[in-house]
Amino acid sequence: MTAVSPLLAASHVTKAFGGVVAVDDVSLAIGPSTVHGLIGPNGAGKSTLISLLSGFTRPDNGEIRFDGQDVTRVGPARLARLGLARTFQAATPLAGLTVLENVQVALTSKYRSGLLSVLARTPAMRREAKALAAQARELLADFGLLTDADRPARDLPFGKLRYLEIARALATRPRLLLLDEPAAGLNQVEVDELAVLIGRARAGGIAVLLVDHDVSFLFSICDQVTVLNFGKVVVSGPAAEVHGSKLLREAYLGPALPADPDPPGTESRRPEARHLEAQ
Amino acid sequence: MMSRAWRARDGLVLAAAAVAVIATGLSGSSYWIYSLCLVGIYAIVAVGFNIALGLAGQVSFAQVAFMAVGGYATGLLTTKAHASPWLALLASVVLGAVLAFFLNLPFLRLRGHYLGMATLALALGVQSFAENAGGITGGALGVFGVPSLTLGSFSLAAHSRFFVLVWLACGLCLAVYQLTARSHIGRAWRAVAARPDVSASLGIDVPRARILALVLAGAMAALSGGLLAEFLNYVAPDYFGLVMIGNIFFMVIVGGMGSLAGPLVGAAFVVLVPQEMSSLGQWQGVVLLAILLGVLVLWPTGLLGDPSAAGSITALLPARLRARPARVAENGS
Repeated sequence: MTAVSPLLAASHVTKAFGGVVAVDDVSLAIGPSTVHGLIGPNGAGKSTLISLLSGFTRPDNGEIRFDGQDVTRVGPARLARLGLARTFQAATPLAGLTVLENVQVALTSKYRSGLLSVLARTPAMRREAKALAAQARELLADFGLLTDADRPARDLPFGKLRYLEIARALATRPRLLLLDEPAAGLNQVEVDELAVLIGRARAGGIAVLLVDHDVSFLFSICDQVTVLNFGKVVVSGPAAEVHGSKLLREAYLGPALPADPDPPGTESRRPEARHLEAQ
Repeated sequence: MMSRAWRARDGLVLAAAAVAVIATGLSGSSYWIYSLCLVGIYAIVAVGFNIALGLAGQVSFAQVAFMAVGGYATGLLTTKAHASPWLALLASVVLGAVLAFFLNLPFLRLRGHYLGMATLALALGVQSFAENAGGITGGALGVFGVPSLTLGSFSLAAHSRFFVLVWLACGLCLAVYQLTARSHIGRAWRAVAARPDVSASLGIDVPRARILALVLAGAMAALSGGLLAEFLNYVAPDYFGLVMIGNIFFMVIVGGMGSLAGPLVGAAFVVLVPQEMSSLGQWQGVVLLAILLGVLVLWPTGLLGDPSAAGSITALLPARLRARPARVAENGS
């Protein structure tokens, strides 16, 4: 991150809800075409940070720059049009819209025709609608969703909903994609497919900020990893370095105690903890 | 987009309505022509509200205020400024759109109950103004002697002629509804109605989408109000009170939110049921409300609303009051 100027740079970002400081003086830089992982235990502030970076929440303090531009007070819709897209933790199909329409909605800002051309059904407007519909179908095809194009989106099975979520975000043509726990609830085959899709996005020049609880999945595809705990950055750097770091383990398991390291049946039951113990 | 079966049903009802309108026009029955004039006028405000509520999901009680604006603008411009009724009608529509833009701007930040209360206050405020600003609006008595429309020397005063104009105007509004609903604009409205936060994350300017729907709704409400003033040659505040607010909601909800022909069915209900039940006297309101409740229980998405679409009145209720009818249960929440 030294030579290349970062695509997204958050510096000293702080957000408190009442007395709880959810994100505390966090600085983070994401370079172009990198996959940056964000992990931490529940309540570490990951989702709040995503919300801050995508413009849904305004920070109390600090600055966020996207592509060199100060976007600290820019809302989500404008950020999306600038090239910063996000997905949500829970699947969010737009109810009442078909699978195809869900992706088409993400192309709305690409339409040049206004109300008058729509009412007059000008040839230019019809051409544009056709071309953008074709684009949406192409994206569905990339995600194996083309056969489901005309189904109501909320009828999709869970795994496909996750893909739709990502396809829809990619339709906005982002340069940075924030994925909030995309692997949650997916089976192993689907997780592997997801890893391939994320790799393909990076190859296509898209940077990804990936939040996930699945530590092995996260480290397998990330170039850089940041560990959050209690709203603060615990450790941040190249994935290999962070993976070996004692601080990562401590964030999940607490500081190592000489005598009784982990009371059985509590934290070590968590899958991420088991993964770390296995090392 | 509505599923194919529901779109087909919508088209069928629309065709049946067109046949009924044409047959009535040809029949020469003055009772039915008078009634269907009113149905057409009411349908226009309902089609507009169907854009705001049925497509864009905006619960606004202020639709009636723009209807009043249209009625009074037409009435006052023709009687006090002696403008041509055509010009007055056009000015009413423009004024309705412009006022809908400026008056709805402060409401864009409100949701749920707060939006409802604020728009209700606006609606009742406009009615109260019309009632009390006697020097301008004629007070509780209203504006008399609104001149009828003419085409050269051809007068549209006769209901049988006005009827044609009303239904042409209604057809125009239905065309505006359908063309926008099928375009990327309508798609964005439905997305905003379903999930404003997700829509914003996809780059949709949510306030702009909402205000466009409200402006179109305001223009159609004003057109409806202007036509009502022309039809009755009279405009008074009691047309634009709670009863009309109820009628506007009733038409869209019973007809089916987000359905093309729904407002026509709703308007027919609102106009014809009380007329046919005039012997019931004050029980009319009770019967209409019983029908409303019955429809909501049996068909929560209205008579022509697509159960697979988001547009259902139950979606606007707090979760604990939401019924889960068997027909939509397969879709989960």
